[in-house]
Amino acid sequence: MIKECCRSLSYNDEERQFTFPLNPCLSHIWNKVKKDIKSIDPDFHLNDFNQLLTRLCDLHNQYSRIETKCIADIFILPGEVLELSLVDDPNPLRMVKMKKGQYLNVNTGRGYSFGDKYKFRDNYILETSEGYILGSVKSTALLSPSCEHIALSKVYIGDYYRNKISDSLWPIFEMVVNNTNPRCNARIPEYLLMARKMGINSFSLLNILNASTHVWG
Amino acid sequence: MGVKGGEIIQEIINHRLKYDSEIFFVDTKIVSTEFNMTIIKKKQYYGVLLNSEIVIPPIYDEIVVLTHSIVAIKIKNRISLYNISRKKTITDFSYISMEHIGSYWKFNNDSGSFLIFDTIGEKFFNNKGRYDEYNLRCDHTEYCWVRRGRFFDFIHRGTGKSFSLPGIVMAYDTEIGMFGKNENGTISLFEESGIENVIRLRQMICEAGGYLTLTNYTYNIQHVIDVYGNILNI
Repeated sequence: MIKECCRSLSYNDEERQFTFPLNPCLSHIWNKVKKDIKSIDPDFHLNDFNQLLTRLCDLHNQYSRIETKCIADIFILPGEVLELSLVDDPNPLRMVKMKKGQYLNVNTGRGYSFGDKYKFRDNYILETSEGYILGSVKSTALLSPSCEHIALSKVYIGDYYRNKISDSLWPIFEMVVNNTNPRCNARIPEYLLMARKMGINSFSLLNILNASTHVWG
Repeated sequence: MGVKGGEIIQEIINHRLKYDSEIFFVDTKIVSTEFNMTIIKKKQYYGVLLNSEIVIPPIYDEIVVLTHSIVAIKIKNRISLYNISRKKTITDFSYISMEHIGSYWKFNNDSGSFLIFDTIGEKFFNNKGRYDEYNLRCDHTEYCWVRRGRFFDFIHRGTGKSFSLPGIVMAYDTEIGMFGKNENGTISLFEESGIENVIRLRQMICEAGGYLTLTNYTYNIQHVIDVYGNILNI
């Protein structure tokens, strides 16, 4: 279904985001895939297909939230997405771990350094190594990629899991930011190739790429 | 094996013992030596010699040495296990075939059930759970998975203790730990209490570089998982 419904990674200028866009003529696609899908799961109906499409239109929010009261930087892998709810801030802080002790704010494209001995804990002040205070943490959660991301990754990134996750993911971010024409889709295949080599999935990749859009000139 | 079957075997044994005593003048031949025990043969029957003493008279159709004190004895296509030190059989003659799998012997009886003997620990696997299948191939794993129907449990190879895990539909052969897949398709690392140890799983996967490959060699299944237990090589 992923192959039929989604095109490969591209930048949508109207929505100002990187995504795996949907193919047109979806009803035609449903009629085409229905028989094969039902041979695997007879209870998968058009409504389920529509729900899948809805989820595919909102990949940024396709994850399982895993609450954790305390987690040390040493136990977070590069590429993992951390979400912190802060006191007096309705917008949770979403960060991708880029390297030991270093994180990328997905909503602003700003990088933070907390140090590799840092622990993210509920009811503690979130402070960077430079002394910049981001707020007081109400809750901490790791975001586990959904099955849509697992399938998208397999189809469009490939066997990334055969490679160890790179120690640093900054090269991907820098590649996009330093691109003289980041809105152009010409370099997209390079982002996907780099994701495969660095051992990261589509959820990590999209969060990094979409963070980069905030720092384009 | 019913009482009547046992009586028949005993009659045959008694008959052969009598025959053996009558042919005292016939030389025994040495067939092989294992674990300091010598398999001897007189006429067409086998026995065991230990420290120059006949500890099992040559009245059996076949003898297989399993450990330094346990042998399998076969008479009229019926197998039992005999403890040399205790000088007695430790099972009845209800088994009709035996298979050597790794460091284990599996004895099958005619009702479909079986007995597993661990030659390293010199103990029997508890089959109170009436499992349909035991993973005996990978004897380097800390736990041996067992299957009843479509669900899997584990048995600790060292202690023989069994652990029933909730809703596990696939198990993996790993050097340490019990890894199982639930009906939702997620893989977890389980403690002996049956509780998932997400912290230990995370530590193992971090040490492995972000992904872990789990294999079930019997079913030829290999799954690569991420730190959340998601199967990635779909």
